[in-house]
Amino acid sequence: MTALPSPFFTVTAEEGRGWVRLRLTGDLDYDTSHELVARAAERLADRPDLRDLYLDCAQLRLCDSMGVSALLQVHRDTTARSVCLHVEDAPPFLDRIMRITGIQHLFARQEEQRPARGAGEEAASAEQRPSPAP
Amino acid sequence: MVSPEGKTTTPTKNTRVTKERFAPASWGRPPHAVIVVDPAGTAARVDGETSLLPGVEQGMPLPDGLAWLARATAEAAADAVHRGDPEPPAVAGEFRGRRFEAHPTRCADGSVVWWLVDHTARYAAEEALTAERERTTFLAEASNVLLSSLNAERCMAATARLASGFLADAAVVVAPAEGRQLPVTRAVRGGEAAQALIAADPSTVPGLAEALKGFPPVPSRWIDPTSLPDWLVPDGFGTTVGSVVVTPLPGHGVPAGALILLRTDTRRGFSENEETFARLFAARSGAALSAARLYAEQHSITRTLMRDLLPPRLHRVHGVEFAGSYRSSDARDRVGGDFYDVHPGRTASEPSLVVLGDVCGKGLDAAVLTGKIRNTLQALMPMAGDHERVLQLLNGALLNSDNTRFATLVLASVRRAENQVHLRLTSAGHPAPLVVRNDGRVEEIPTHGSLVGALEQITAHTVGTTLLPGETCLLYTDGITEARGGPLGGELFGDERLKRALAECGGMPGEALVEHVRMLASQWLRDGGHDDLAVVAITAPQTTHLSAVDGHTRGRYTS
Repeated sequence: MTALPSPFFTVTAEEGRGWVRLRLTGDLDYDTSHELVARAAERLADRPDLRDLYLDCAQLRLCDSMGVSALLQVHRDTTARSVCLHVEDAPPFLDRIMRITGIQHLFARQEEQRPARGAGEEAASAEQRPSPAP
Repeated sequence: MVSPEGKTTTPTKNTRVTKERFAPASWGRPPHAVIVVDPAGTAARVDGETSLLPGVEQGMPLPDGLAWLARATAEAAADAVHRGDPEPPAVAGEFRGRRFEAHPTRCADGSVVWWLVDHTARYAAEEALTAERERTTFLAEASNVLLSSLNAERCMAATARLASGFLADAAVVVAPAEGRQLPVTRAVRGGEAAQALIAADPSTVPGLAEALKGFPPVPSRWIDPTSLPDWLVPDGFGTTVGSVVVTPLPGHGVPAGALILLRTDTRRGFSENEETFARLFAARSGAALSAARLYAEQHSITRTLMRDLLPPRLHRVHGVEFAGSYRSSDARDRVGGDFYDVHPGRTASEPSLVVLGDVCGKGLDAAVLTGKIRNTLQALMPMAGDHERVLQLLNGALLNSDNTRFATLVLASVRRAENQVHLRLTSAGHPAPLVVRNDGRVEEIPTHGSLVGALEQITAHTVGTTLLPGETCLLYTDGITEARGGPLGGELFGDERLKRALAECGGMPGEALVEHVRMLASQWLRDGGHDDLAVVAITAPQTTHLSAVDGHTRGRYTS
């Protein structure tokens, strides 16, 4: 486990057979997002046997648009190596930003193995047509 | 002091002893020049280093150059009569280019023995030290003055003023030519610098063309002051130019110009030392000038970019009210990642396209991506009816393998029919637009889609709605909902608070609504740092039903 120097954002790694879990703590934003990309790329390069990369987001406090960009970059890198990218314990703000930006389908979620939490939400919301007839 | 005879010769009031002290024959050659001057001002004896005193003859009156010594002799002799001991103080004077300190010893007969110690070298060293200290002080001051301004013109003025005050009688700074004209800054000692553009050929001043190219300066003595063109000599210089130094102002990689120093013919020319020093000064001033020019260049580039990227001022288009507000996160950037545009339909019956978006990141990178998106969307206007297609083409244009920088945006096709405004809205990964109804309801338009610029495949879902007169559709970036602040600080403004605030704005004109949102954000943030914020309001104007058609609109409503 290596702590990165930033006091605002740290990535700690935990490894097992065929998997790596990166635990993200703090603010994933303009100043820190490159650290996540760099750490993920480093793990991918070191572990040719990798099948699953988990991002543990339970301790994440903030994720801005650069943070989303970093998640997309990690997704692009893992996809290129046929590694499955999982986002775990996403806090509500992360869920929300992933839902609004329409990227949640890219990340394998725990919810998919567990009883689906937000399933059907999208379909329901799409049905309310607010406009009165012209 | 012990004489060679072993007698004590410590100075006493005893004149007999004093007389014995000057038995020069037995002393060998004293290491200093010695003159015995009698009260009449005649050199009674000359001894020791007589080579230092050419023209001083024994038994002859002191030469004119030693008048100061004759005067001092008279004073010392008078003093002796009245007060006796101690010996009068030493005096200093010059003779034939040498500086002496003359130490007197009185004789009983009223004559004075002067021991002349040659201090020429010491004085020279002291003068050099003083000059060096003055130069160091000057250079330090010059650096302060020059570096305190990032304005190239003020820098040139400071260079001319400093140089004319310390190094010469007048100074001229010539900047590299702008087209066929030379920007010239001239200053006379004690005066202010004046700047002018002069249509002149630098090769008319010896050494100037070379200095402007950064070649080392030619020695001052090689430049004939009478060959200088009139434009070079500043007004108020008065007399003729006696000597000239032309030295380059070295910049960062490229020459920053040339410095010309002028001295009047009444002053001595530039010494080698002074020319070297002028180069030291020129190095500092050149660096400052160069930095100022780089800054100016950068500023002008940013301004040019910004001019094109700043959101437009919105107004009524084809009978629909548009109001917009943009505030960048940083006054320094002015353009950040948020943007909006209204592309009017070609005719009133064709929908206008409104775009509001947010590019991830900040600074120049974000601004460049913003410009790319706005241009692409403008080019895609002909197919604005199909939002999904527009977004897919835009996504294809932005996608690259280098990075995953993306944008989220909302497209709105807006068309007025009768007194209503029909909207088709599509969100591409952007917070949903809100519609403020006349009865105070705030509706979230459930359009959704994926962000553009980072994914191979994107989806988008368009939703339609209609605005009745007085109703407004608000497009906004997350600068408002993600604003952190509030009474406790650090709290998110959030969607719900925004909806509650808008619920009180039913029937408000678009301009007022936009201003209200902007104010809410400022109040919420207080002094805290904030993200970019862009807001666009699309409002169906309040109309009065007319019984007569007003001629150019096809409806029966005021527009």
